[in-house]
Amino acid sequence: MSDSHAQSPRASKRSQKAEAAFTPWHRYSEAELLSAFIDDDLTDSEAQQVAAQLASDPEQRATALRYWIISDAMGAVKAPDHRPDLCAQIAQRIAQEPVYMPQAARLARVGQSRKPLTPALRLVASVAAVVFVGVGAFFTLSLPTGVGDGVSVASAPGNSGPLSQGRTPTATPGPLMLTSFDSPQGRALLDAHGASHVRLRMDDR
Amino acid sequence: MQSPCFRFLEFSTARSGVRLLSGLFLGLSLGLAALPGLAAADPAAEMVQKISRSAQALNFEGTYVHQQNGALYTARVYHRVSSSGERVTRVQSLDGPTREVIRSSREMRAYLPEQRVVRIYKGPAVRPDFPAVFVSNPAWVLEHYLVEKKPGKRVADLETDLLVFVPKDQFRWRVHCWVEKRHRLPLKFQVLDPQGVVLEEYAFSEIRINPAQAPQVTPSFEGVSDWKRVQAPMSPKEISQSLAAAGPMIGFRPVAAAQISEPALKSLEQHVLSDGLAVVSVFVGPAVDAENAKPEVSRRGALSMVVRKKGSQTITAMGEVPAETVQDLVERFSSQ
Repeated sequence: MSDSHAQSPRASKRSQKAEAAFTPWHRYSEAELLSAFIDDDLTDSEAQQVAAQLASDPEQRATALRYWIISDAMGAVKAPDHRPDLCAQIAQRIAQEPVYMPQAARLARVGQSRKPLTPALRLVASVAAVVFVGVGAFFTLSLPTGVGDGVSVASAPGNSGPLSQGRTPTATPGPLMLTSFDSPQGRALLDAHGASHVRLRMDDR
Repeated sequence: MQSPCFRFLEFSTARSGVRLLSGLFLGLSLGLAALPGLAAADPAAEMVQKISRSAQALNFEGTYVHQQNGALYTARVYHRVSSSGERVTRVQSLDGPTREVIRSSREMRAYLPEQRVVRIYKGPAVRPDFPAVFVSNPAWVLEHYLVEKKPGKRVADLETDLLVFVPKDQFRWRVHCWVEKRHRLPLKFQVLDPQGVVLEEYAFSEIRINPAQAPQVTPSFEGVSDWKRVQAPMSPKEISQSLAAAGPMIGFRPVAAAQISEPALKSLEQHVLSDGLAVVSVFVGPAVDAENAKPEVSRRGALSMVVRKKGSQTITAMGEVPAETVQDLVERFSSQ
């Protein structure tokens, strides 16, 4: 799917619906809505509303990123065919914030290292990256990448291995692994494993 | 089952007499433990049972601090037991976004006021929430830890005894637990590494046990009936028979299982294992892109996590245990 693809037949058909009368929240649960957004199952106007919501809601961004990563890892992500302009605008805004750059750039590289990341997915990835700013450990990309506040035990002795406590994360691309607690998968698993107080803070980062 | 050992360590006064008593207790406990059916007479077993019961049977409300990986969080907990024995716990975050979790025997609800969302986790609680500390059968603890009783200190303005749970092998952390003298409710709980470094800690700063007015366990937010309800993508399932039949793995027994199926996640099985004190989750699901995957352990405070790819599956073990434990368990699941 190229960026120049303005409107697919499916999107065109959808746009004929009386979209304005309903918000996407009327027909989807919170989880279903984000899933539909990631899978490109929303109408254009619905997708724009969700994108706007993601731009202002860190928790939703974190959830969206989690869904995207999981979908992407499972090969379930479809190629979105809409909202390139909006994506570009928000991505540009994030790019202008230097502090967000490493995370956004790394996320983009994650997708590109495995398959091209579509503009809409870049939007989700880039916007969601903001959630993790300040966390320290952000994303673990295979073994050569740092893990922030995590400690690699297997890489001992002497913290000389690829993952060492306190090492600044690098942007080395590589296979996605579930080795960081702050990766979306790690957080989802932590939610399943965690006690109540952990769930209280799941997205409080 | 190995013999439980409960050491009444000497207080500073009357040291020699107490030493004699501790020796008698030790010998007695070892002897009793050797007799099936008399284990309950073991003071360690009694103490563990009392601690377990107190966290379940008492009404209390208090504020505690949780320290993990250098970060501090404060929460307020309300625990209420109805006349019919139904227990409800409400945990309210006092830092960051105002959120609450309410747990009953049937489900847990997380209230997220920013989104006006109630996230519902079906099924009974598996993991204990502080001040509850034991999982499933507290007697399992005695199989894997020596329990030492020492003089405690004042915690939240209450006098305590200190119980030290010394692991019998390298597969679990050392635990220090300060229990209130009268009701045996844990007031402070520490997980430590072999060097004595505190990896995780809970401590009440204030608590009222059996307050005159029953603790409020309904959500404090207005209009929650209008909030959107979202089912958490995990549902309890039966423990695998083969897993149950396999017996303890390095002292960890299966205590629960769940199916996790988010819309974007095809399917993930969760097996929850415990030695009575520590909890490990083993997740089995479709493989992620991990061509070069190696067993690699991440650590955060007391928590360890390792991932292993086996054919078309990815196996992840996560728990408040040393790295060796998650590595061992993930290998065992991989070889099944």
